[in-house]
Amino acid sequence: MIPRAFEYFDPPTLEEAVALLEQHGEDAKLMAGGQSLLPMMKLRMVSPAVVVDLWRVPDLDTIRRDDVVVRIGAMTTHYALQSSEVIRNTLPALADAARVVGDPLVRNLGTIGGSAAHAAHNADYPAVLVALDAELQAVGPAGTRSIVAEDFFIDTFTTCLEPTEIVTEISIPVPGDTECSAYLKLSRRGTDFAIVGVATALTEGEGGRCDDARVVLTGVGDTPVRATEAEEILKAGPLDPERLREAGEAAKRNLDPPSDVQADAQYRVDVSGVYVRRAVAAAWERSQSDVSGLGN
Amino acid sequence: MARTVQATVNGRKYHEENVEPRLLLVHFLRDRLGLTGTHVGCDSTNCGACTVMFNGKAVKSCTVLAVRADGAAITTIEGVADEEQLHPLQEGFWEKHGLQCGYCTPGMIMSALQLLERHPDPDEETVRLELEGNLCRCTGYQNIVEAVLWAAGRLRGASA
Ligand SMILES: Cc1cc2nc3c(=O)[nH]c(=O)nc-3n(C[C@H](O)[C@H](O)[C@H](O)COP(=O)(O)OP(=O)(O)OC[C@H]3O[C@@H](n4cnc5c(N)ncnc54)[C@H](O)[C@@H]3O)c2cc1C
Ligand code: FES
Ligand code: FES
Repeated sequence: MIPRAFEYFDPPTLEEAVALLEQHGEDAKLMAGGQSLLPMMKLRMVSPAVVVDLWRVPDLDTIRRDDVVVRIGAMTTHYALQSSEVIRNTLPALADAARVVGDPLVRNLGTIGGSAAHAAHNADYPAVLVALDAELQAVGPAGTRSIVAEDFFIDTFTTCLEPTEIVTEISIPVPGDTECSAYLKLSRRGTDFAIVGVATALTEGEGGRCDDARVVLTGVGDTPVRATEAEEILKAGPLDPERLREAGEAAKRNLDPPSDVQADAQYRVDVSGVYVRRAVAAAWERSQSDVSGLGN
Repeated sequence: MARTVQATVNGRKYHEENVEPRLLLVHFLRDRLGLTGTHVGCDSTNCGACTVMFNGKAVKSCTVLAVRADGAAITTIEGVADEEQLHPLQEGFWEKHGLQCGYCTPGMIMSALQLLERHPDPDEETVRLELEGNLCRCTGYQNIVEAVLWAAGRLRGASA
C-alpha cells in the first residue's frame, strides 16, 4: 500500500510551517509521528496534496516543569512521556496512558500533539487531558491561543483547530499534594485501542472524603465523556466501597457507546462501571500513604 | 518533488537521488538499497515484520517516509551480526528454536535489540510486553521469549 503522491515540505521553523499551511489551505496536512496519518494515507482514506512535516522544527519535544505547570511539547513521543520521571511523578495518569498507547514501536514515533489533534474517539490521551484540566497551545496565522481540553475535542477526528493551526504545547497544572490521578484501559490485545478507558483525578479532603473528582471516559462516545453524576457522588461523602460502587453505576447511566468488532455497546456500558470503580480506586490508593482497602 | 537522501545504513553511507516523498522507508531499504532482510508483513502498521532501528529507536519502517531518513543512522537485520559472528540474539533464536517460517524474525530481533538495550535483565513479562508490536503467526511466542531471555543472559555474561 502506497500513499497517493504528494508534495512534501519539512520546514525548519514553526513560522514557515504556518505559512505553508496558510498557502496550501485545505490541501495540506501536518505530519508529526505519522503513526495515524501514514496508515490512513496508505489506505487512501486521506490523500493530502501537501504534507507539512514538523520533524525538523526544533524544541517541540521538551518536557518542562515549574511550580505551577508542566509544559509538554507537542512533538513529545509516547515513549518519552512514559519514561519521563517528571511525568511519572507529577502526572501519573498521563504516564499510565503513554505506556499503553499502541505498542513500543508506535510509541517511539507517535506524539502527544498528534494524538490530540487526530482526536480518535477511542484514543487514550484525550480523556486524560480533560481529567487533568490540560490546555493546548496552538499557533496560527493570527498568533497563538490557548484552548482548554474540554473545548478542544468536538467530534471523532474533529477538533476546534483551524486547518492553519499547529498545536505546539500542552500545559497541565501541577497537582497539589492531596491530588492524584490514574488512567486505566481495557483492550483485547496489547496494540489495540481502548474498548473503554477511564481517566480520573481526585483531590483528597478531610475524613476520607474526596473534595474534588474528575472522571472521564474514552471509547464510549464521539469525544471524551465526563461522568459528571459519578463525580458528584464521589464528592458527596467519605469514599468507601459502597460510594465507589454507586459512582460506577452512575457512570453507566446515559452512556451511548458504539458497537464494533471488539465489543458491543452493552458490554461497553457494563465494563465502564467496573473501570470507573477501578480507576478511582487506583488513583485514591496513590494519594494515600497508608493502605485504604478500597479494593475493586 | 523528488529528493536526495543521504543515510548511513549498517555503517555504510548511501547517497540516493530521486527519492519520491511517498516512498516508504521499507521500500527504500528493500528496493533501492537491496536490503531485503527487512520484511513487509501486514503493510498496515500492525505486525512489526518491517522493524528497523532508526536513529537508535525501533520503528515500523512501513510507516516512516524514506525522505525522513536523510541524515539518519539505520540498522537493519543485515547489520546485526559482527562479520561472521552472529549476535547473541541471532544465536538465541537458533538455540531456542525461536522461529518456524522465519518471516517475523528480522523484526522480532530488531525489537528485541531495543528491548535488551532498555532492559538488560528482563523478566518474561517484560519481554512479552516489549514485543507487543511484533506478531508471529507460527511459534506461539513461547520460543521467541525463551530466545530473548537466553540472549539477555549471554549479553550480561559478556559484559560482566
Ligand atoms: C498499531 C497502532 C496502534 C495504536 N494504538 C493506539 C492506542 O492504543 N491508543 C491511542 O491513543 N493511539 C493509538 N495509536 C495512534 C498513535 O497514538 C498515534 O501516534 C497518534 O494517534 C498520532 O500521533 P502522531 O504523532 O503519529 O501523528 P500523525 O499521524 O503524524 O498525525 C495525526 C493527525 O494529527 C495532525 N497533527 C499532528 N501533529 C499536529 C500538531 N502538532 N498540530 C496540529 N495537528 C497535528 C495531523 O495533521 C494528522 O491529522 C495507534 C497507532 C498504531 C499504528
Ligand atoms: S509491514 Fe510494517 S508493521 Fe507490518
Ligand atoms: S516464525 Fe513464522 S511468522 Fe513468526
